[in-house]
Amino acid sequence: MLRAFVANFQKGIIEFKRYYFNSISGFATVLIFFYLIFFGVKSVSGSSPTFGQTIDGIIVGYFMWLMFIFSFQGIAWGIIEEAQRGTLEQVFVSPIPFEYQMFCRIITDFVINVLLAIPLMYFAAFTTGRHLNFDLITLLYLLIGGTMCALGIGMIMGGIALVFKRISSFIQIVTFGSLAFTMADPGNIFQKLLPMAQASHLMRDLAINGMRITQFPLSEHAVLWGAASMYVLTGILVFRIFEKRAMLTGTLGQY
Amino acid sequence: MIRVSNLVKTYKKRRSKKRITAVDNISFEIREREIFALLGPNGAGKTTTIKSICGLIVPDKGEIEIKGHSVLKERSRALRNISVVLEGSRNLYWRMTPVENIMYFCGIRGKTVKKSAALEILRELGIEDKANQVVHSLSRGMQQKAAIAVCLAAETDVLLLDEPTLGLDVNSSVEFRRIIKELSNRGKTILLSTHDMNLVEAVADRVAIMNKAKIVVCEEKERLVNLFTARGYKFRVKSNGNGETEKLKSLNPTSWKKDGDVIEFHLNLASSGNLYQVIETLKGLRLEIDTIEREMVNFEKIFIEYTSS
Repeated sequence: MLRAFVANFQKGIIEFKRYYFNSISGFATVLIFFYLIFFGVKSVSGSSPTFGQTIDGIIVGYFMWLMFIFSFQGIAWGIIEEAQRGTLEQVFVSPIPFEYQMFCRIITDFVINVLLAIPLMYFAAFTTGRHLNFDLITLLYLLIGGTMCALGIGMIMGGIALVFKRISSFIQIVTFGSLAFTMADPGNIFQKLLPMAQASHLMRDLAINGMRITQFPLSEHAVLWGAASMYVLTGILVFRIFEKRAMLTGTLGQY
Repeated sequence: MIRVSNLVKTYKKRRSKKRITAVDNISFEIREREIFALLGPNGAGKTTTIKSICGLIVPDKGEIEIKGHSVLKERSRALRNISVVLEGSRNLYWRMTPVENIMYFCGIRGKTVKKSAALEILRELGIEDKANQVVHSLSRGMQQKAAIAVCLAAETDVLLLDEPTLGLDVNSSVEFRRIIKELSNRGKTILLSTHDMNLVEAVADRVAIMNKAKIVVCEEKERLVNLFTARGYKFRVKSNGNGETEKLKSLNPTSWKKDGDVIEFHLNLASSGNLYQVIETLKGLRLEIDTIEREMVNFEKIFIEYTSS
């Protein structure tokens, strides 16, 4: 199992380097969009006294959203690409279950995304004259909790992709829908159970109020991990249903 | 080594309640260290059979066992014993090198392969100089060799090769025959699905011919060839112009040619004993027998014989 994890991790790194243009242009796009949002908000808020807090929240919210979409899109696009390339069936023939292979890839993507997104976030803040001053461990803790929701959504999308193959429109809908979950402040428990909503909510507490992992009430931790577990378990269940369907219909490797 | 029993697979037809039968109640067994060829025209059910064996398709009915482990009930244990090169050229990651592909695919099976071991396998297949080139830049034949290298590195007892020579030039196909034979000599059990009759003739120990979702024959290759060699005869007789054509055609020749007073026809005789009956018939018609030749049979002829009915 550990060997499979290492193999998937190495493959993730190799492909990140080989598809360097795609990797670099992805991060350039992230920065360009960030500046568009930043200057858009700045032109609307002007010299409002709460602008500083708002923009810190936006920076964190934006990067939280990016982590979310990178994670769930990584799984869904990964399956679509593998089906297109024809390698999906080869991965399925491994005696180690495909869910585990996906899990390894998700962790790889998460590590790569964190390693690039956090410096990018500081760079974005620096170039816009902001100074982010918050606890990195709390940030990572929230990213892990939040990304687990994305994993669940990603597995659902991946399962759908196994059967229906072309789901790019659906991915885009979920991508824009997720903007609402990560940017809006959840008011009640049901809103907090929306994917990434609780993580984003706590992230704003971190960015604006300087809260640390130990300062969050226990109930907030419970909601964070409750939502994460709910999405991961649902994701695995739905993925298995679609996986079985693809094997019954013989559409696993077709595109 | 591999036992397929009463395998049935149907697919639902699109926008219809009808179902298409891809594999219809087939059974066969592949022995250890054997090269077993699955032959059949397009749509005969070969790929569905192979994909069912490697657990990519769940059959409607039937059982598949690999080394005593059921593919349906003990998937992981069963798959530990097999590696597969599927039809088409996309068994590998194109932006990775053969060595990286070997290490990756072994890794996801939980197996560690050192770079030196991967290079050794590539050397055996004659592509070690391509070890560090991305697969995308390799020729079709080399990509196929790299895919075989991945299977070899996995060190499984069974190799499933679906159309391994498809799209290869003559030289590469000939080389592939050598490689497959060598793998068998090393103790691998090989299931080969192919259209390539030359490959079957050159390497297979046993052959199953599939047609319309069923296995129409499953025999030792030599027996199959002998059977057909014993049956195929070419007759050359001189016509005497006494209306013998109708009588000769009643023998059901597989081909017929008349050139002046020379008639040439082919007969498939169930046993050599029937040959004497035909000679008697020809004598009765007062035809002068020029030559009787036993036909050399190739696999193409056997294949057509079984699949054209």
